[in-house]
Amino acid sequence: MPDIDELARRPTAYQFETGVSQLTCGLIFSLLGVSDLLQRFLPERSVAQEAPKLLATCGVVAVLWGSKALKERVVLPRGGYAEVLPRKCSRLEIAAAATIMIFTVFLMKFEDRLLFPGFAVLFAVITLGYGWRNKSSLVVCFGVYLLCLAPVLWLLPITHLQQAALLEVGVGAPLAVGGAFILRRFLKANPKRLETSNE
Amino acid sequence: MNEADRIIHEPARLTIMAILSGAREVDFLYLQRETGLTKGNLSSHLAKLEEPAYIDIEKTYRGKVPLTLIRLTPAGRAAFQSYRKRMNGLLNRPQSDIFG
Repeated sequence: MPDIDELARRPTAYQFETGVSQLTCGLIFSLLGVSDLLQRFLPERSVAQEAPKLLATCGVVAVLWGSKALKERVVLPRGGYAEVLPRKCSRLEIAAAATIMIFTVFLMKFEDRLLFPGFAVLFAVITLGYGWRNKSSLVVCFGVYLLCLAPVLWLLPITHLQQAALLEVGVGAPLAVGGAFILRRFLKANPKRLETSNE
Repeated sequence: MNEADRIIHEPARLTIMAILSGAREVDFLYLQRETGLTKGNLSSHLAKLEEPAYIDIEKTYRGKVPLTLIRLTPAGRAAFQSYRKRMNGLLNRPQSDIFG
């Protein structure tokens, strides 16, 4: 008898098996992080300081467009199309997200240098928990990497805003590289079919 | 086991229903890849599930490529939930109740 719960989770798992989601998120995080870092090196309140932000915005739009095109032209004809059921957030999840946001805004005012290393630890715990539950060694490795990133962010002699930008790059770059590897593996495992994709 | 259960109970159709229960809609290629069935086999199972209106099949195009979208109907979702409930009840019953 097939494992019904496992089968019902397959469409959701498929969204992460192609690597496109990870690649897109990773590239967006990296772009935003790099633009934030560049802004810190440019003269304050100058027009030039706005240029990295503008370029990053254009880059994000290009990444989103590219990701959609990649999905439609390369991934879906090989692996098929599956749209998952919209997930309803529980009250606890909404309350937790609101608390974290309020706490972040509060700590940003104090320019606390522990805030973003703390975020890295929080992401690490969430990632490790997710990886442990889903028995994914790759996700567990990413969680361990985030745990190592936290003290590095704290020890570097930089401001809290630079820490935030570095965290974005630190999370985004490996995510994008990992996504690219997963996509490559997916494309190798699912060669393009000569006939039409459907019945 | 009633007639509705018999339609879902067949392993290939149960696999199809289970996958569809976790998705809003999927296409034929995805379902074929996930179930490992041949095109003809999958088509015949889908036709059997379409008869009692458990699934809805929409034939459309993505650009110039034909696309077959499959989704569970509310009736299909309810039938699947009821089937799961009944099977869980059966499996959780003590062996003495089943074998006397």
